[in-house]
Amino acid sequence: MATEPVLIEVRGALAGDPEALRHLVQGLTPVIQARVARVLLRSVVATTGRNVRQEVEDLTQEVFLTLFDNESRVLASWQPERGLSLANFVGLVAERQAISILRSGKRSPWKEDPTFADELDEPDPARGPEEVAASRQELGQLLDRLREALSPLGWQLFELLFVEELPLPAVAERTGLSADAIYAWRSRLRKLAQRLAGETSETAGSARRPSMGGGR
Amino acid sequence: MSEDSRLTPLAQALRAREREESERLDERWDRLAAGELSPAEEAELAALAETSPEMRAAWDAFRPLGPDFEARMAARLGAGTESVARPSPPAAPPAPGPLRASRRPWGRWAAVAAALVAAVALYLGRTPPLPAEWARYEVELAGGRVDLRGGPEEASVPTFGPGSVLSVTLRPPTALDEVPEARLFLERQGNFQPWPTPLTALSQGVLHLGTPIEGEVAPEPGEYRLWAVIGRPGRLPSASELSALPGASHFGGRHWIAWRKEIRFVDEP
Repeated sequence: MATEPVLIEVRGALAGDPEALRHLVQGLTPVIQARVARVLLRSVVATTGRNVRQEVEDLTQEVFLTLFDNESRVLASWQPERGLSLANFVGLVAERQAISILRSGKRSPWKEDPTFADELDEPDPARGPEEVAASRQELGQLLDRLREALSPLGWQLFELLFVEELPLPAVAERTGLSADAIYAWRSRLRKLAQRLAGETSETAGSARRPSMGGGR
Repeated sequence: MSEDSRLTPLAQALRAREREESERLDERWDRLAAGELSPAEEAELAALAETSPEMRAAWDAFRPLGPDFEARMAARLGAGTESVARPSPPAAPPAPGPLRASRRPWGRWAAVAAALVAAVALYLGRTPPLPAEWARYEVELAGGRVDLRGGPEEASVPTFGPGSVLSVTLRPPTALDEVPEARLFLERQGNFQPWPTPLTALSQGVLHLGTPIEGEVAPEPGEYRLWAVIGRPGRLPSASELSALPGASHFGGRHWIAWRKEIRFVDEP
């Protein structure tokens, strides 16, 4: 693709030209800020008396560090031919990192193209999102976990396939992926949702179970 | 249960979340962060911020982080990328292709950088931020006397009586090529009035007002706030738009920046 060498050259320019870097930061700051602000405002953090302004600034900074770490590997992984604009790509990275940091206090390790199929090959049909859906809060948590676990491409495919419910040819056209690749992603998404639902159910179940330690 | 039913509740939850969020925090908040609101829209959101703690948190979260943050971020990232771009020892083999070229940040890289800026602006489709230097303007108030009658906390409030000369200077940190439009406002108890005489643009981006306090330019005696506002030509806020903003010592956005100074007018020389 013609854009790939351009992206590599862009990365080189960023490494060598402070003016270009400054403009890139100026361009991306509002995009990142708005995305992390939305994540923050729907979290409990926003209602626990913490400094929202400072939290937004810290999260925005963390997202920038994610984008530029390791010779800007994450930023360089943006592929416009997959259908995401730079703003949307960076926005998805921002949401993912904000969710991860707010949940665990850590940045999420970056996976450009997660290969979690192998580790998910242990389906447990007894558990699925349906059980978790009993609680809206738990479903929201599961959604955040899914968001945290997926790369921008994975989340884009979740939205196209399951939220927008587009037919496969339309998804292929939007993303430039082959039908086989989309089928593989669909399978990965199902398995990931199943695994996360199981984990979330266990967490919620243990949280709901009464303490055996002599509480009143 | 179909295979896709494992993901269907999640998709429904996402749709519901997006619908609720768009009702609670519509797209104007994103445009607030990008500095793309009209002054009237910005004033609407500022007024909304006064209606509940949740909306106040939204105002704090979406208000632009501003040129200072962007400059600090670029400096930090630049410090990291400099080490990447540092030339290798002479014996080291050159990196292949474009990365080798990145070790020479002149010539074609200037063109690449310019292309990058254009591409980013194109992809983001947004107004470029205000020049970073604008946020570092210093507002100097002179010509009055210090009124010592009010106690220590009021001792530094400049005081102007009939016949004194109010001198306001807006000074950039360095000489500027692009000079902002500027306007002064006088605020008393939340009511804003534009100052009747304009600032004059001096050399190197300095803006100045010097006016005797007499006649129509003599406000009623009392405590005021003098607001100095700079911004893109034609994008400065009106008095009513300023009055809708919540109390703060300064505001910064994508189109204008405002600072305030305490000031006192008296009816005796």
